[in-house]
Amino acid sequence: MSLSFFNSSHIPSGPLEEKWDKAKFSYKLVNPSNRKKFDILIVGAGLAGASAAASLGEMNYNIKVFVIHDSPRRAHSIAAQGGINSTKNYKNDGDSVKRLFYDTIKGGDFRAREANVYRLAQVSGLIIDHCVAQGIPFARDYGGLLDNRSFGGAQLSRTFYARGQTGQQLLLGAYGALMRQVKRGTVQLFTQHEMLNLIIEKQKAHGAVFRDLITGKLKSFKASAILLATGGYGNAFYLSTNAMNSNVTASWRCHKKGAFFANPSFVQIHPTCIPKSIEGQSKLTLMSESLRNDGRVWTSKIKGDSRPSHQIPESERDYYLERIYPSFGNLVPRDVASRQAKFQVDKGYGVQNKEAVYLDFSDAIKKNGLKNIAEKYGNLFNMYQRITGDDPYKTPMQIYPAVHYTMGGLWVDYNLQSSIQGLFVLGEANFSDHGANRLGASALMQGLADGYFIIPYSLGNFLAQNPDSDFKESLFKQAEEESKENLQNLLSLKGSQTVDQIHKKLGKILWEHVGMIRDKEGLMKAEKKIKTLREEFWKEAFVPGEAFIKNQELEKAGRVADFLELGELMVQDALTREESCGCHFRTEYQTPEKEALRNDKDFSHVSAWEKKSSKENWILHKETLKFENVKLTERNYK
Amino acid sequence: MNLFISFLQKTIGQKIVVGLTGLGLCLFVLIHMLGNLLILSGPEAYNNYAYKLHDFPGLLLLEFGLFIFFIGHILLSILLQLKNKKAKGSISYQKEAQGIKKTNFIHKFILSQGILLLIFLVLHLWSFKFGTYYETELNGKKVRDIYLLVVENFQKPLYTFGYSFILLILFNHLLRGFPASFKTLGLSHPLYVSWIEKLAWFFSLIVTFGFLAPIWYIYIYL
Amino acid sequence: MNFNLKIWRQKSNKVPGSFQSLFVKDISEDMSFLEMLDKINEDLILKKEEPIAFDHDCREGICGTCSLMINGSAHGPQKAITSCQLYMREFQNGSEIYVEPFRAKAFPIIRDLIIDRSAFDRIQQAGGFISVNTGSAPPANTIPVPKEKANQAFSSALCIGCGACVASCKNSSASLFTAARIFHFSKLPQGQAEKTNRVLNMVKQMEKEGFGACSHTGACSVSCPKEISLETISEMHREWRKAFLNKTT
Repeated sequence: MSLSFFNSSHIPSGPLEEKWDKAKFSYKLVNPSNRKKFDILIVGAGLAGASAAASLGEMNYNIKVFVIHDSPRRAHSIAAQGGINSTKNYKNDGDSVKRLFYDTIKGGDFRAREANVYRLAQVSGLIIDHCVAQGIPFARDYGGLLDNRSFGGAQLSRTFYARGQTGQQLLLGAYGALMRQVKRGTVQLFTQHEMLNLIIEKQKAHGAVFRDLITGKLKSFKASAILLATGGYGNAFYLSTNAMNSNVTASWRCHKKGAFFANPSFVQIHPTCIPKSIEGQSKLTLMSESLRNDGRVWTSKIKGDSRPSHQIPESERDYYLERIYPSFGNLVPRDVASRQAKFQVDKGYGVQNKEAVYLDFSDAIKKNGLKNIAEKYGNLFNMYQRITGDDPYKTPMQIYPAVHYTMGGLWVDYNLQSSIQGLFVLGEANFSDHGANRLGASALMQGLADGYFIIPYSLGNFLAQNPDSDFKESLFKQAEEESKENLQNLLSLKGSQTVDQIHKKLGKILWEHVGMIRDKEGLMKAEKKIKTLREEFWKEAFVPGEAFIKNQELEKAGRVADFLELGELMVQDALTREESCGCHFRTEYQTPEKEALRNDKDFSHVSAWEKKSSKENWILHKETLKFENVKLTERNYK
Repeated sequence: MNLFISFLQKTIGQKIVVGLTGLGLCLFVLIHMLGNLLILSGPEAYNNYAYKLHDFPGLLLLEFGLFIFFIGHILLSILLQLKNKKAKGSISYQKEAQGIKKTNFIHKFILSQGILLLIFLVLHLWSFKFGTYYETELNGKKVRDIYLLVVENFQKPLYTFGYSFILLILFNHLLRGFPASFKTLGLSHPLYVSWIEKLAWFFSLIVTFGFLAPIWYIYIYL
Repeated sequence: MNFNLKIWRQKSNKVPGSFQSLFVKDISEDMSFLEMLDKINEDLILKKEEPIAFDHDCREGICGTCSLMINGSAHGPQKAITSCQLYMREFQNGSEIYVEPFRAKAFPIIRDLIIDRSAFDRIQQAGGFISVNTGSAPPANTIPVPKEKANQAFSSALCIGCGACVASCKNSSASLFTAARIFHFSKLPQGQAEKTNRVLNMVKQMEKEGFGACSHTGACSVSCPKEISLETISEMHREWRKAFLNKTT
């Protein structure tokens, strides 16, 4: 069903190159002296949230920032390792806005909006300028100018980096800018506050309900606009590279109030993570994609080979990525690399029959010297050694794909506004720019683009047209009551399973059926299993403690309850998308060479799901993707 | 003056004053130690030195300066210690760090060391500056025979052992305080920080042995 | 592996706390310290007891949320890691392990092992940034930064704000934390304009929060998961001295 709603995803008409300028010119402005009157709530302060809060604070809006952590600097953006893309073309290898745009659209397997991606590429240069001015210590060459490295899915070097801690440095920059605004008094900071409910009337957001995670008290705040920057939902899988507290709750509660959720099954499985080793494992650790610049991925050529790596002679090693994709080799995009690793393991070539393949640096060490490799990847190698006890300078790393990033998220229009008026969604929490697969070093770019260079303009446009927020006390009471009831329900659960145990079960179902490879039969099974599990949760779970105190189990329970509902929608989405694209690989739809087979005729659209509280099932809306500037081709990295 | 008072109100300002006075006192103990070495060359040399020192016109000013340095160093250190104790809170850790994170011994008991040194200082002044007044003749003049007093005192085991113990504490205090003063003053740098540490060892050893030598010489040979 | 754990339990800052003895069995040596706590919590919950509240998030040593004093060492006995990166294989089977929160007056306990480190945020607010409004930056390569300077800045920009420096300092001083940020900016040309005010304001805020003074024992740097150098503190004192004289004369 296609609704008229989507006729206004508000993409300006005209040539691609001029759309953003056109939009900016058409935006209404808010007089600087009037900005103080607007209350903006920003939920989450990772790259997108902190950068938005800082930029809007500089413009003198009245801002409140809410984070679940004890400080905005803990947001999981901090863990991004590899880098951030930009079209600077400092390496003189022919980069341009158009090329980054094309790489990103193609990398996303043609399931993203042209206009959004083009805008992203356009502002990518400004981000680097701004971050350098903030004092972010990017890697530099001996002349003192900025250095670049290459990343998966691109044949040139456009990634700026700060050793293996780019996310941390960028976040600390944005965090610093945010702290500056707190000092100025334009931003009020609420740490340890979790958003539990959205207050809406007539499809317009008026405020939100938060729980103070220390005292347990509920607090509501009114708002002229609300910005969600709460990150992705990869933790639905239980084991992922996300932080333990990453969750979908804020997004999901908004979804339940009417915000459309787009492409929920688009989940990026990152190829280079440390494999799972024990039962009680709490999370998986990512090894930066940049490692594939110098590392070579291989398995044994012999099925069920149980020899340790050093006993496998060169002639019996299968560098399968180089073999299948001679032109991109080890630098194929993430979805492709992950899938091939799974194929190798499923065929019985896994490292000593485990779920792992080798990532080998011995050739790189031979060629560039130990010192060079240590300088580039020292911290990653140490991290690997600490976790596994193996020394990657001597023996090859063992890696396996793991859930990492979610391309799906709340649906937003070109102005980053969701289907609820006044509710804007930024960064990983929205769905907009990465299509069915995100390229490496693009997440940091998108988060900062949204926060620094897009929302400051598009939000003004909305506020200029919605100057009054009519504040109704009763709506707030009602929303608070809803949340209170929900908390009480959770606390009344006194069954025999911990919340984590149920979460692990959900993770297993999703990993098995909505992971790297999906098929109709499996998805149908998953649908049933998740429904049963949800019932199990509301009967069998045990939530200890009280409401009005720090209670980590209660926090977890609320989040897992939301994941259980989201899981079902992920399955729905994967079921209805009867094609393969990017991360979404349906075994029914593949080329003879086992590559993803898209169906552009029927599925060149965004699936946006609406939840009506009155109905059990979701309604699917389709936003057709129009490609006027790129030719839809089979993604070929051979 | 205002500038100085406001400087003294800041923690780092106080630290800097402690460091500066500390370095000044280092200079003082060095000179004191060199003077004491004269004991080894016999009564005339030592009494002569003491006499000349006493006769030095600016002595009172110097003593006053020294007094200010001591008072500044001690008061500010106690003030800072109180602040630090307050910052630490009332509950301490059940276990102490072991292995590579173990605190170096020289950093422990710093306040008790300081208090011991302070008590010593009072006793020291009392027993020598204001101690028994022996007289002797030097180049026809009647002067105080401080040498005799020193010898008399350090023939007693209590004095010699007590002083030696205090000198060990002084050694620790110097070893720790000397480089810390440089760091506090911001005069440390990766280029020469290791040299400051080495210098601290050298300086503390020299001073301690310089003080130990005469008293043990007296105790054993006189 | 089996362990005899003594874990600090305290319901809130208003009530006194005490150690709870817990004997844990069948711990895999490949478990991280926090995963062991997960397992203990699971057992406690199933026994209908209150689980242990502890800070944790990224579990890969970068977010700075985890904060345990393990046998008297911040983040445990090993160098250059956070508690979440500590694996049980580092402990002797059967040993006794004391687990306490980071203790300092400026870090009040919220519950059990969770502490409030918002004082760090307020120190940052006092000057832990370069004032540049979005949109006003010059092109990135306008000012070259010598590679060595950029590396120096990076080495202290690594601070994750976990508070191990404060916890292991006998004076509960936040000097290493504050100095790391000041050092980072003072090495970069972009950081020069605000140099004076930055150091004065950040140091002032650090005092106001009730942290102690630095005695240069070096305990902070040894405990720092990112091995931030003690030199940063010396540099901070130097900057402060210069700034104080510049500002007031």
